[in-house]
Amino acid sequence: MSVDRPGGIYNQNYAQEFIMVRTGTQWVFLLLALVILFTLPLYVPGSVLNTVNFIGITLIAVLGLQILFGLTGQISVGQSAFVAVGAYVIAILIRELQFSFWAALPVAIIVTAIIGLIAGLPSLRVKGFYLAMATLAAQVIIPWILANTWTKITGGTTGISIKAISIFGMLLDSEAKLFFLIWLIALFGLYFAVNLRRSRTGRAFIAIRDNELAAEVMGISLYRYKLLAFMICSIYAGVAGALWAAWSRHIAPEQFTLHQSVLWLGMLVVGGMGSNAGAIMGVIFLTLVDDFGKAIAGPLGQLLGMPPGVMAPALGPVLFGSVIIIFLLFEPRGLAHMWAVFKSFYRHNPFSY
Amino acid sequence: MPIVVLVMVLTIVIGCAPAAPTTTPAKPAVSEAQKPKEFVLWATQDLSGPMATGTLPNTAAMNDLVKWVNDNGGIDGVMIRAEIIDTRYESSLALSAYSKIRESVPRPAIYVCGIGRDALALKDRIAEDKIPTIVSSPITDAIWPPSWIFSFSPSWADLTGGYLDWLSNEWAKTGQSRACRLAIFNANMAAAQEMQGAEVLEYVKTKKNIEIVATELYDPKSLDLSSEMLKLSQANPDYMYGYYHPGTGAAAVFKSYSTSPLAGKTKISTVLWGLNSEIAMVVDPKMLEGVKGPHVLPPLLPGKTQVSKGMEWVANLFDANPSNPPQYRGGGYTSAILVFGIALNALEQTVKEVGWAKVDGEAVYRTLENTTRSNIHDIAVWGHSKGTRTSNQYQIMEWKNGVPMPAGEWTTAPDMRPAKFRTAEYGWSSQGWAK
Amino acid sequence: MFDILLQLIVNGLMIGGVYAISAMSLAIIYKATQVFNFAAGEIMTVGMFTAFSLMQFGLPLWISAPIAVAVTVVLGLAMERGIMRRLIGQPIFASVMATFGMLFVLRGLQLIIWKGVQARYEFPLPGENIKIGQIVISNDLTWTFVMAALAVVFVAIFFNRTKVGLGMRASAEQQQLAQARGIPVSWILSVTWMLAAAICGVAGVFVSYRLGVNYEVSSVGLAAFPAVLLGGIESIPGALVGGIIVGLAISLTAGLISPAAATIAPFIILLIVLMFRTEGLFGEERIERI
Repeated sequence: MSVDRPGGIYNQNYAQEFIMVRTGTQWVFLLLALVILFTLPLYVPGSVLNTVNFIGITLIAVLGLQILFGLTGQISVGQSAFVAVGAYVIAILIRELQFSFWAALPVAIIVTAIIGLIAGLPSLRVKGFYLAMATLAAQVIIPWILANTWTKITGGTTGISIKAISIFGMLLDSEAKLFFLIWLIALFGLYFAVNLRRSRTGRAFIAIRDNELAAEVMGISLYRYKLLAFMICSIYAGVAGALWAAWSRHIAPEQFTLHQSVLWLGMLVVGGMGSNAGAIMGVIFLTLVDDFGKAIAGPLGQLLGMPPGVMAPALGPVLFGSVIIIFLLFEPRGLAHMWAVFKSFYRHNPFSY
Repeated sequence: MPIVVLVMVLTIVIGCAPAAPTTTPAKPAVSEAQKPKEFVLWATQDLSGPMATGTLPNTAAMNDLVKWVNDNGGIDGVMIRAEIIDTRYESSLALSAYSKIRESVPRPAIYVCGIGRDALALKDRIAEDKIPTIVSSPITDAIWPPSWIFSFSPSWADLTGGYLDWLSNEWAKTGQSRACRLAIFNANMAAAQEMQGAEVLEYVKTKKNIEIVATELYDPKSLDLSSEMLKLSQANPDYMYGYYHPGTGAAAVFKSYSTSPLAGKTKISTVLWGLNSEIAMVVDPKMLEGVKGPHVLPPLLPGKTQVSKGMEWVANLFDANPSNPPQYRGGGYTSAILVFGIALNALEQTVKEVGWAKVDGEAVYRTLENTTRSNIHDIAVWGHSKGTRTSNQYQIMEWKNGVPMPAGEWTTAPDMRPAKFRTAEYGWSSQGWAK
Repeated sequence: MFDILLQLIVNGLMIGGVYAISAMSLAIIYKATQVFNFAAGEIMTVGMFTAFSLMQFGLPLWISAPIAVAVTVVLGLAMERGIMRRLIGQPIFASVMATFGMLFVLRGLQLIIWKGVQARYEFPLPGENIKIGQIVISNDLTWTFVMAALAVVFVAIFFNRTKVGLGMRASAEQQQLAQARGIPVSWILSVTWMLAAAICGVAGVFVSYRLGVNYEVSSVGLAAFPAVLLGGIESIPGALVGGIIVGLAISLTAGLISPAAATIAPFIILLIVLMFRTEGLFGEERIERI
C-alpha cells in the first residue's frame, strides 16, 4: 500500500516508521476526536447512545472479520455464530457460576478462540468459497447446538437473560456506563488491529491473501498463519459477544443469524476491504443507511399508497442490497478508497498529482 | 491513524445528528388544562422477520382502532397517536426501539411489545423505567418472576394445561378404559420448548387418562415432514398437538399428515394461530376440518354475520378502511384490536380514576394489576389471578366448514408457572395446581 | 421396520428431488462463472409469487407456471447483464457478495409487491396419492420429483446435444479458447444465468405446492449448498445425486434419530465432504499453479 504523507515528512530511521501520530495537527485531531467521542454521553440522548454502543460492538466483530478476510483473504460467513459463542459463554458463567464480567471475559475469549481454530481447520485443505461453505456449516450448526442441546444451561430457543453486569463495583445499568466499557474495548481492538497490520504477522497475512503458494514458497507457514488469523478473528468475535450479552441482557440463538454475518461482510465491502478505517466507515455508513430507510419509509409508503407497516421492513433490505451492489460495481475499494482519493486531492491541490 | 480516529468520531457525530430525538413533539404532561394535547401509544412488532406474514395486519388494526377512538372523541378528549416500530425479530433492534420509546416526553404510561421474546431483553429496563408493557404471547421467562410485563394470552404452558384439561374430559366421554395417547409435535422454536417443557410433563401426571407418548421438534422450514410423522406414528398416538402457524410449517404439517400413517387414526389439535382463519390460506380447509384446540381470539368471519356483537364491531371496523387488503382479515387483525384494546381500556380506566394530570406508568400499572377479569368490547375475555401477569382465559375452538368456530365457553386455564415460583410469596395457593 | 425404512427412503428421494433441482441451478452457474448464487432461493420465490398472482387472475397452472418461469428467466438475464457481467475481472468474492445483495433487494421488492401474502395454490395437480403396499407417495411430491427428473434430463440434453450447451461447456473450460473458436462467450454467460434462473423458477412453483406460498420457501436455496458440494460442484449428475443424498439424510435423520436434528443433517454432510473429499463425488480435483 502506498503511503501518502504530508509534504516534508520522511522516515529516516525505524523508530519513525513505527510512529502512529506524526504531526502536531494529527495530534490535535486525535485528541479532539477522543474528547468528542468520550464526552458523547454528556450531550446525546440514551437512544442515540444505544445506537453508538451497538456500533461499537459491531465494530469489534467487523474488525475481527477484517483481519481474517480483509488481511488474510479467508472468507467467513459464520462470524455471528462465533459472536454467539462468546455471548453464551459469558452469560452462562455470569448466571450459573456467578463469575464477574472480568473473570468471565478471558474464558469467553479462550473458548471462542478454540471454536474459531476448529472452524479454521478446513482452511488448510480448502480455500475460497469452499472455506465459506465450512463457515456456513458453522453458522448453521453452532446456533442449532445452542438451541437444542444442554437446554438446561443454554435456555434452549428461549435463550438466557442476565442482570445488568457490574465492573469494579459499578452497576452498568445505563447506556452511558456501558458506552465507556464498549468503546474503550473497541478502541483497544482498533489499536491492536492497526498495529497488527504493520507487524510481521500482518505482512504474512497479506502475503497469504495475495498469493498462497507464493507466500508458502517464501517461507510463511500457511498452517500457522491461517489458523492464527482464524483465532484472532474469533477472539474479536468473543469480545463482541461478551459485550453484546452485557448490552442486550438477553441472548437467544435466533439473534445470531446468517443475515447478521452477511451484513457484517457487507460493511467490509462498503468500507473497503483490507482497511481498518474502512471497517469503521462501513459499520457507520450501513447503520446510517438503515436509519435513513426507517426515516423515509413512512412518507414513502403513504406516497405509494401501501398498507401501513409494509414499507419500512421492505425498504431496509432493498437499501442494504442496493448499497452493496452499487459499491461493488462503482467503488469496489470502498469508502476508505474514496477517502484516500479525497485526501490526496486535498493535499496536492491545485496540482493534479 | 489519527485521521482514522477523526473520521470515525466525526462520522459518529454526524451520524447521531439526524437520529436525534425527533420522535415526539414534546408536550409536557401537565399543561394549563391539565390535559396533554395527545397521547402516544408506542408499540414494537416484528414486521419483516419470520413472524411478518402474521403481524402485518397488526399495524392496520392498530391504526383503525386508534382512528375509531379518536373519531369518538379520544380518551376523555385527548387524541391518541399510535407509533409502531419494526424489530425484525431481533432483540438488538427491539432494544434500540425501546431506548427511543422510553425517552419520549412524557415517559410513556403504557407500551405494547408485539414479540414476547423481545420483552425478555427489556424486562429489567421496563421495570426500572416503570412502563407497564403488554405482550401478546409470552415466554415464561418474560413473566416469571413477575415484572411490569402483562400478557394478552395465557403462556404457552398454561394453554397447554388448558388443552390437557379439555382433552381429559373429551377422552372421558369416549368411555375408553385405556389412557389417551398424546404426541406433542412442534416446530423447533421457543414456544414449542415450553409446550413440552417440565411443567407440562408434570401436569400431565395429574391427568390419569392422558399419557404423553412422544415429544418431537421439527424444523419449521422443512419441505416435508412425512418422515417425522412416520417416527411419531410408531408411538400410536390418539392425538397430536402442536403450534402450527404459517411461519412454523403449518402447510407441511397438514400435507405430510394426510399421506402419513397417522391420517385417520390420530386427531390433530393445535393452539392459538393454528385456529386463526389465516391458516386456511396455506392449508386446505378440508384438512383442517375438525381440528380443535385452545384459543384466545374469536374468528373474524367473512361477511357481516359474526359470532358476537363484538366481532360485528371488529368486522365493521375492518370494512370501514378500504385500504385493508382482504388477506388481512383474520386473527392478526383481531389480536391487535384486543391487545391495543387492553392498553387503551387500561388507560381509559386510569384516566377515569385519577384524571389525565396524574396518568403515568405507575397508575396504569395499578389498573392493569387490579383487572382480574375484563370483557374487551364484548370480543374476548381477558383477566388474571392475583399475583400473575398473564391472562388465564381461553376458549376451545374448532375448524368447522372451513372457518374456526368457538366450541366452548371461556374457561380458566391452570397456572403452569415454573416450579420455583410456586410459593406463597408469589401468591401460589398450596392446594396444588391453582386455577 | 422394513416398511418404515422403505417409506423413509421414498420420502428422502422425493424431497431430494427438490434439493437436486436447486443444486443443479447452483452448479450450472458455478461451472460457467465460479460464482455461488446465494440469491437462488429468492429467485425461486419470485417464480412462486408470479405463478400465484397469475392464478389469482384465473389462469390455470399450465399457463401461469411457464409465464412465471419466463419472468425468472428475464430476472436472471437482468442480473447477469446488469450486475454479474460488470464484476468479471474482480475477485470472485465481489460477484458472490453481489448475489447476496440481490438476495436482499429481491426480498424487499417481493414484500413491496406482494405485501406479505401467504396462500396456497387452489389448482390441484392431476393424479392421486400413490399407494404401494404400506408405502404412500404423495401426489404433489411425485410431481415435484418428476419435474426434477425432467429438468435434469433437459439440462443433460442441453449440455450434450445442443450447440449452445456445448458452447457453454467449452467456455466454462477455457473462455479465451472458446472465444477464439467463434463461440459467443458473452451470450453464453447470459444463457447460463437464464437457464439457472428458469430452473429456480420451476423449483419455486413446485416447492410452494408443498410449503404454501410464503417467503420461507426461499430457505430451500440454502440447503442446496451441501447438495451441490457433495455432488461435486461442477457436475450436473453430481447435483442430482447430491440432492438425493441430502434428501435421504434429512429423511433418515428425521425418521430414525430425531426430527430436531434433521435441520443440521445437510450441514454435517457438508463438513464431512469438506474434510474428506473436497471435490465431492463427481467433481475433479483442481491443481493450482502459480
